[in-house]
Amino acid sequence: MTQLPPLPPPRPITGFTRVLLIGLRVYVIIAVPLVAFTFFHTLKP
Amino acid sequence: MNGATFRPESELVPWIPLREELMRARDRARIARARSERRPMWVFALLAGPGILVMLGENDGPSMLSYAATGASFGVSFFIPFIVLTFLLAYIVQEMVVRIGIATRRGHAELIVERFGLSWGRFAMADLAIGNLLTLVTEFIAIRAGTAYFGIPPAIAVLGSAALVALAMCTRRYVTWERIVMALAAGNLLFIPAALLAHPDGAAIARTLATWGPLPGGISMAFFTLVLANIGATVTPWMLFFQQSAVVDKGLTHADLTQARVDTGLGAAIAAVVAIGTVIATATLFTHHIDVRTFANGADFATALKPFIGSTGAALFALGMIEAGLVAAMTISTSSAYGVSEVLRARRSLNAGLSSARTFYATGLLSVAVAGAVVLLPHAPLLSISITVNVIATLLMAPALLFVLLLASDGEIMGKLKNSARANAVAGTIVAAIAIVGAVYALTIVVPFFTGGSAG
Repeated sequence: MTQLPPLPPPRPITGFTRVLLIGLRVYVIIAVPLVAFTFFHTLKP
Repeated sequence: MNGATFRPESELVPWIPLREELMRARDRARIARARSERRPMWVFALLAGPGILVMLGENDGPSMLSYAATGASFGVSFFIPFIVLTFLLAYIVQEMVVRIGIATRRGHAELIVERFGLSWGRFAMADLAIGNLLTLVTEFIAIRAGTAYFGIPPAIAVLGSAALVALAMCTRRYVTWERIVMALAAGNLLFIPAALLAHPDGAAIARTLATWGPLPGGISMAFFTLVLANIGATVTPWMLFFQQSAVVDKGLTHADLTQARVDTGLGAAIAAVVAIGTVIATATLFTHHIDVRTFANGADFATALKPFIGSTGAALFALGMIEAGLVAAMTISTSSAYGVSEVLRARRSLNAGLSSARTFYATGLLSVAVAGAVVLLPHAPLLSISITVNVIATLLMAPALLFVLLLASDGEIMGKLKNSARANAVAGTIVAAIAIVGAVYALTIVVPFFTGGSAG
């Protein structure tokens, strides 16, 4: 595979980033059914 | 064993450069030669591409329809300076992506996996692949509508354009692919002569740029929807994945940052001028009180414009719509190929051989084939797909932008190219604003379903 300089290992996700990612997880849990609902609802004749 | 000591396999096998590395090295040698000969314009010509393509790619079928609807609904108005603002926002976001690509030499999806884990990487991949597939369907709808204006049967239009997308992708040379798409993207400029044929009032345009007015009808739901649609027409998730991966595939380095920024800025400027040209061209429909609420595609606008900008102007408008769909199909399918291959750790490069990067090429080609087939299917749910595309793109912009901001602020991977505190404040505000606006836009589409109204 392509020879790339390695990135530093990721630090444990803590603090503000952790809060953001938890918020994002909640957002995604709400968003995905909304998208699915939109698609299937508009399928109705 | 005659005293031979064990050596790991990696030390025994000589490193043989991959085809994509050889091709990239050849391109880098040309750039180095141009630099040593002190030919800055030629250096820029060699380095330009990802920025111009991402911006003109985003002037796609649905986006051009949004601009056409904006001009026809509000004329020469508030939206002209507003479009300038949206492309400024797009530049700020994409410039961060360029820096991330140059600093890490990794694609966007790959970096999400490395820094935030495989589950977020898979989410990014699924979000990109599904969103892109549905967007590709809308691009083929735009191509079909544009070619219908010239009486070309849908099957020939869709199959022909899909074949063109596939052929460009299979050149096995990034530079060749890039130049083919850039040549086609020049067709985006066709909206400008179409606008000139509408004999626009230059003083009125200058006045609206200076005053952000007038706003016919005031702030209404139609105004709000078009504000959101225009933002959605400028910043979308595939752009992030495409430009970062293209920057890596092209092999851009720290030394190329200035040219990469100019490339992105130039792309944003050209795309903004074209978008404004489209608004100006269709503003003549507003002046003549033509009701465009039932218009579904570019051909409807071209036909309605014919009495006012002539058959040449209308033909240019329809051709522009075909180009918008075709170029977006090329860039969006490539962004899917990059994103999926990055998460699956497969070889990924437009310089790679077809058999050695099967996942990459199969993803790109399959997405084009499926989208083209859907458009040709009788009774395909094209309206559902068009509405869902908007909802996906706008709802999922928030997660995509958040990852850009987190990556651009990560000093461990960004080094000197890390966002400064000031840049973070500006970019953070923009990301928050775009995310909120995107979510509100998606809700304006979704909520009517709950309340029993029409989705529009």
